[in-house]
Amino acid sequence: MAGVSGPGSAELRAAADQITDLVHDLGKYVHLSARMLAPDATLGDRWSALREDLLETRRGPSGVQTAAAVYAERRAALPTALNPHPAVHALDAHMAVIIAEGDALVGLPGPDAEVRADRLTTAARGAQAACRALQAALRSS
Amino acid sequence: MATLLVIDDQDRTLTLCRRVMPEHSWQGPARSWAEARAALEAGEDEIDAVLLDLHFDLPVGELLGLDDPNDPAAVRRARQQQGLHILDALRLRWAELPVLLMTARDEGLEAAADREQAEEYTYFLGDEELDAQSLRAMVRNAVEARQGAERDGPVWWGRSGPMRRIRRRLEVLARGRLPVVLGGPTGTGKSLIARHFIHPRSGRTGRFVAVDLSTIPKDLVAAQLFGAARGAYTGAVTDRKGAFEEADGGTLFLDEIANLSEEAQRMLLTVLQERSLCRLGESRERQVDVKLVVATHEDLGRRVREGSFRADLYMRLNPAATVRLPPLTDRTGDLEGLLQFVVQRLSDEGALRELLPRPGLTSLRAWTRGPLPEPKDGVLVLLFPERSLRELKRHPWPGNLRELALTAENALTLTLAELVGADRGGPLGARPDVIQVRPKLVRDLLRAAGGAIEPWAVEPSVMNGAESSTTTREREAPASLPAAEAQAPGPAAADPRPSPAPASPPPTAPPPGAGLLRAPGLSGDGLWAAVQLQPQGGLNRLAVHVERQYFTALYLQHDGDFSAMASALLGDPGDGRKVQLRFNQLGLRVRELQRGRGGA
Repeated sequence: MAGVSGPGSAELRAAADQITDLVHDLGKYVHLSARMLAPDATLGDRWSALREDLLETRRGPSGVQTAAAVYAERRAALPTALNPHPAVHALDAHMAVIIAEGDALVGLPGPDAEVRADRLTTAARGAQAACRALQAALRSS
Repeated sequence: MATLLVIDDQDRTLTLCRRVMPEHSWQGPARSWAEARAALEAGEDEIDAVLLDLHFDLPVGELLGLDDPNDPAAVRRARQQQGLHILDALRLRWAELPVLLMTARDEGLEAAADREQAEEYTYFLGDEELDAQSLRAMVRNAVEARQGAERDGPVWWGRSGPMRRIRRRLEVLARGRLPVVLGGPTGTGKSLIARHFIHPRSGRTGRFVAVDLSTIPKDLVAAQLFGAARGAYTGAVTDRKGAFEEADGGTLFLDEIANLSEEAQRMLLTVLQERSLCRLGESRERQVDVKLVVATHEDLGRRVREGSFRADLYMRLNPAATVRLPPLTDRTGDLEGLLQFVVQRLSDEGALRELLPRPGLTSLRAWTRGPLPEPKDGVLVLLFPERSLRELKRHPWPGNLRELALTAENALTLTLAELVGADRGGPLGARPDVIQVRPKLVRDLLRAAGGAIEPWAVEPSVMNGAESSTTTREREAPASLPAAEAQAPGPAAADPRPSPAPASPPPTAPPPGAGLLRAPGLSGDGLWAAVQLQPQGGLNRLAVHVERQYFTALYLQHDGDFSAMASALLGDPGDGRKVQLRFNQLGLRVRELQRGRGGA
């Protein structure tokens, strides 16, 4: 990534498989249902969509994985050489919000649900964007 | 509404699609190529598009494109690109099925689509486009691209995969100069396609001319095709154009090309090579420019190997581009559409008008699934319930579309006749405009046709299109009606078949095996009819075989007057409808017999 300090293209290429998996497993699903919502979606709709995106991020024959669990697995597989990469930084920051507040989605929307939903939506969108940025950097390397 | 299959090892895409696009029917998820193939095979005629993920976390044994299962890197690559391997496999069999690949287009993936030459059917749906509006638009585009091609065509094309592929191929072949060979079993609609599909797309302004070579005596074929000068042969009292000249600037359809004599093959080859011909008895060359379409149910390649068809003519006919029409059993998904087509044609022809149950009804409409249409003035809806459709789908249809057309006409005739005569199968509840075609009736009809008679040998005009050929084409002779079978004493005894050719006069004596039956103990003044007895593989079939001949003779004897026939058979002229009912049950067709009487 021109003008940004951090790991070079060699590190990115070496981590290609891990980045691809991260983008597919987390980036694709972490902000999928919420972005499909109509502009006039109710709070209940937004809450359900966030629950799908963050608590049922991957759902298949082998079970259900939360965004936090997918992140933990895929982030651990990334080479430490990528830690300084801005996209990885951004991903870590957004996932920290999701990990801290995501559990609230288990229950019904509370009095602060609107604010919390906004925060979680922003974090999910940010996590997805960070995954894409990492992938773009990989492609250009 | 379209039907889409989701191929993905995860559930979320399918859940989302169902929520965002409830207007479509969603199948899946197929989690591997094996599951996808099974789903596509099961719904081949119904699936309009596929949504395919790229990355599949599958066990090693289920992965496509894995060279070394023991190499972790190879396994990882196979999982990450599993969608492309599935696309490759899918394209081998479903080349034109729209596939929405859930990944962004980049060079590598573009190449993957291109190498299957199916790029126009592959859509890339990257993460960034994955919002409700884009997804909906993408699905709509893919489905419309596929269905749009079908909307342009007549309903008898259907939506089945085989017919879609044939359609695309013929669209190309129709525009070219080379001949087109249509193969496939009898009754699959070869002449229909030549007339209504190839000719209009050939870009030619001349006429469509059809010649059925199976009905022309061998010694008259050359004159029919190439024309003749006055005096060229006995009976050639004037100069006459042949079919090639008639079709100049247009399309010439030669049906049953395998029937051409050796001499006619040689002459045809010369015309194809030189693009000119000489009429019989003339030395003057005439230029001709025709789009030639030939059809046969035989394997021409085999005929060449056997030495009964010229290899050089075979090559001139462009055999590499032979288009084989599938039997009806390979396109059961089209059956409902074909039924509707047949009923529409019957309605347009007014064939069943006399049987409509009340005044004011003017047209018929077949209905096979979904909520009934709103009542419409003058329209009688013939509802084929699921069980009736099941009977039709189970039938082997050896006579293909012809047999289907005949069966549908019989089913409708009997349904309408029952409604009037026996007060059964009547209107459905509050919908007097709806009549049900009962499963038992369909079953009985199919059982009756199961070999005792070969109704498909009679080409129903309902499949022939409205335009009458201005050509030398003749109707096929019903194979199940040997020449003598309808001979009855008296002036009306005649061959019920259309007269195939002037050189083949109707026989004057029954062939061996036929004769007047005079059973001991039977006497009286009723009609005696000559029948031909042949083993039929069962007493019921034999009874139908004999009865059919008897009814034919009776019909001819009474000039088609069902009341008179009822009087002769039942002693009551008022029972004409019952006789007509039985007449139809036997697979006899008034139009065919009338044509036969006209030609006798």
